[in-house]
Amino acid sequence: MRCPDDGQLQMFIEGELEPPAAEIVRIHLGTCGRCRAAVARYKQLLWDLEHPLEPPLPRELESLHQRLVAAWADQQREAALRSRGRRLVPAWAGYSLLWTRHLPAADRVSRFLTRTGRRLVASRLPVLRYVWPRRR
Amino acid sequence: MPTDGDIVRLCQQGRAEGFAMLLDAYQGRVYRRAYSFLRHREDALDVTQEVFLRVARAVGHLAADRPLWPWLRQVTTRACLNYIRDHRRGPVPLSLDDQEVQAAAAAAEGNPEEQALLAWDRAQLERAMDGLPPAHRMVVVLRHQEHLSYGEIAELLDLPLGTVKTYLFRARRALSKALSRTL
Repeated sequence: MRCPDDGQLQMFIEGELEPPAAEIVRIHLGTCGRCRAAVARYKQLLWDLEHPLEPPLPRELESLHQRLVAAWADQQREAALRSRGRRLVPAWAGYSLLWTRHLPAADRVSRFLTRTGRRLVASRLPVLRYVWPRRR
Repeated sequence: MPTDGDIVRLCQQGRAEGFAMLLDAYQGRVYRRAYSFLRHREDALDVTQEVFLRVARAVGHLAADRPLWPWLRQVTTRACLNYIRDHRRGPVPLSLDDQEVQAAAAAAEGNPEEQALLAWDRAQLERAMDGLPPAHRMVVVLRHQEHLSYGEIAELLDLPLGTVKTYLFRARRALSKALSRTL
């Protein structure tokens, strides 16, 4: 019987082979010393890979921590400013609506001012029409 | 000890202590994962910074009831892939700093006599890992340190399942050969 390839041996160790294929490899391992040695080597390797050396944390991480928290604070400040700007426009529109709808007195004052302004402009218009061409 | 949910909620309220807690809890883990992918101290620090800048932008959209690490692992893996794509064209030799890092890590683990041999073995393994192509190394790390399935690795790295298996088998064969050569 031919020896299983490396991939099959690795999958056998990890339990990833389908049961019939795993059975064939198991039977083969009973007769082949070379494959048994390969399996032992891979088992050791997998154990080593699952227990790696953790590198010590560098000192620069502390200053990075501080820089990142400062960057976060800046970002939050900018976001707060942006959202305040976005809130101002609807607030202004809401307030003006409230004044005209629910406070008739304020509405009357604003209408009077608008009317007066319109009359003032209208009364000055003929004069302006007269003066403006002459000056030109 | 604050939970992930507490951290996310504090961050979403815009409170700096929430973000500081997030860094306290995960900065070291992100650095170590980036280091295990890139095998270079300064590169791992750059990626750690990049990851947390992205986190700061995205944390507002996270669900508070989900664990943070799977998402952080994904951001870290993607950032490392981009870093490798942008900065490297092949395996990079070990810097002196990294050799010191490995020696320090080995020494910290090893007690005289019995542990010395184990520490030496692991240092050899670390060196063999440095020689792997980055994509192979990432697959090995995700499989054996993050304990992800082949399918999850394929999804995370955006690779076909068959490619993930091939990378993994080749990487382990290369590691096994490198280790048997050093004995």
